[in-house]
Amino acid sequence: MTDLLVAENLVRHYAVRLPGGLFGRQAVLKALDGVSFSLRRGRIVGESGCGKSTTAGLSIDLIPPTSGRTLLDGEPIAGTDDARWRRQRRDMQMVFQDPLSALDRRIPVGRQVMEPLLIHGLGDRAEREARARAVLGNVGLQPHHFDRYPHELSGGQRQRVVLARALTLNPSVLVCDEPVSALDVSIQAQVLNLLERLQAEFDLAYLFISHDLKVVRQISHDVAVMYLGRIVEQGPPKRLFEQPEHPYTRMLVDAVPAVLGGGRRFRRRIQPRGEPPNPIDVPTGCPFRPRCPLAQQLCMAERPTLERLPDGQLVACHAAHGRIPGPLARTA
Amino acid sequence: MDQNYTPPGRISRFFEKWPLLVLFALGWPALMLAVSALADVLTPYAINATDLRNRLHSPMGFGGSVLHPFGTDELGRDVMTRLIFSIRMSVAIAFVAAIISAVIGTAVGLIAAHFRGVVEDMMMALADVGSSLPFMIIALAVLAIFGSNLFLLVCLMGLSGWERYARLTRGLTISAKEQGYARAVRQLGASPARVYLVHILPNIGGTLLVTMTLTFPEVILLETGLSFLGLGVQPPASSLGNMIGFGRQYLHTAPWILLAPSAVVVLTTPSISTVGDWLRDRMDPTLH
Repeated sequence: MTDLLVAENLVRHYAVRLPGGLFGRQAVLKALDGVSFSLRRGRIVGESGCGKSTTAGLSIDLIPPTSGRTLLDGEPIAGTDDARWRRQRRDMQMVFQDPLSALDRRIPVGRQVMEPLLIHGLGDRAEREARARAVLGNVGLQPHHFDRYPHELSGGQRQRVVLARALTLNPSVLVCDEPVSALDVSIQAQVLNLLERLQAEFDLAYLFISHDLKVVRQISHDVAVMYLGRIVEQGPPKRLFEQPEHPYTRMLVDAVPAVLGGGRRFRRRIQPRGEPPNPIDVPTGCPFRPRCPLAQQLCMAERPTLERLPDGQLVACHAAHGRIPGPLARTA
Repeated sequence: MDQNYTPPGRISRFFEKWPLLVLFALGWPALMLAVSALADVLTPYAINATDLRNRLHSPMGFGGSVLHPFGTDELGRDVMTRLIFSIRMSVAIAFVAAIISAVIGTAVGLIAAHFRGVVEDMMMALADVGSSLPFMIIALAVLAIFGSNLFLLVCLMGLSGWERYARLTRGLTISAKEQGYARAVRQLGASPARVYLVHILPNIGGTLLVTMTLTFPEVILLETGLSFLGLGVQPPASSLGNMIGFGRQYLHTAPWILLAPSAVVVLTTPSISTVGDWLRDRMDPTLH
């Protein structure tokens, strides 16, 4: 089976000016520093500021990459405004974090759901309206919501409208950039259930970006953990959450409060240490080194690459691959 | 809730929706438009009909007669008749000129915001040039060289305020482009034209409209100034400014010649601004 969406070595650097006013030094912020993934049903998690949203933007080419490329169905994603670009828009849609800002507040939501059809010149007016009403019904909205304005709906309803708009064209990939983090916990569950139902119904693939481990664990089939613009660990959620290999993953998983008697009770927790370093000034060697309890001389000298463990888990850590000793090292 | 709460009656509900100030502000421009449209029917005299036996006749209520309710000028021409034709002339000029400058400015601003980079710098440099040249002197020079005609006058005034719209549109568009809705529509596959015209322009339209209502009185004042200096509307046609200009000589003996058009200018300016403010609120679906 070929992968639907493939990202090859995506890099996005931003030129920034350091504090110091007019005379501030120019510097390069490596928001994304070589991220590759292929998507059947993938997820990305990570601490804030590690490049998750940049990944989302790059993977559907909302932001032009500094280097690297993304393939949709084996075809590179065009960055220009040509026919292929427009055709590819129909196959991949994006769901945004803040549904209120993603909708035009001057236009009734029904018309906004019809808009993708209008943009791509599909159907006549009656057909478009029928399609929009059907999709709105599909995401669980009532017919009377059709003529409402975005500000008249609740947060969950708005996110449903955004989802409906994304689904109008029957895409195969949905890039969800923190789709539930702006919602109440109760609404979160509704929207997540909806996402799961829609996935089964329309055979969708999600690139689901979130910092919320519980959400990621519930919805994903494959999880990638990002740290400072790179993927540090990738694998199936059960393996990743129950037996994290990378100390950073371990730290994230341990940060989730667990009910006593849970699977992780016998293990020593790793306390989060320090803040992620400034992405403008990434440490040499392993970027996680300053915060890592296992760090050794090797970690300072050599940056670990994402390598496969015997059971298929991908990890970028010297300790996980047994090159330095550590309590997390696996004995193969 | 107050214990003695009674639902507002029909009248107070009406005034809540249509405040008195707004009613007046709407009424005044409406009256002006009606007067301009019906000028030929409303005026008892021809615009240049003189009546030399009734020169500098006082207005009604100040010793004048019903024959000339606003009095007559130095040639015995009826001030009310001239005022009505002047309103028509000034409103038409100001309206066309305001639209010209809004269209030019908005287009320039959108182009600058779309292309950014060198194009943006060029467009904004043009706007800077536009705003740094003293408009009155340019207008005087152009009108003095080419002679005053109505078409030239309207075009000149259309070029007067465009840089304000350009700056505003550029800034608003750049920030709107970064907002969720514009990016969301863009990634749906929409052409830039669609994003600008269907989404961004209506969203920033409120601000542009208010700017327009603020510049509209300015355009009237500009026309008034040019005509006052004798370079605007030429006799026998008359405009508000041209009436004020010629009435100035009789300020001591017959102030009504100058006061009538001045009052119109003074009332028009704030009422149009009020209407603009009110319109912006009404056009925003999130505000009611």
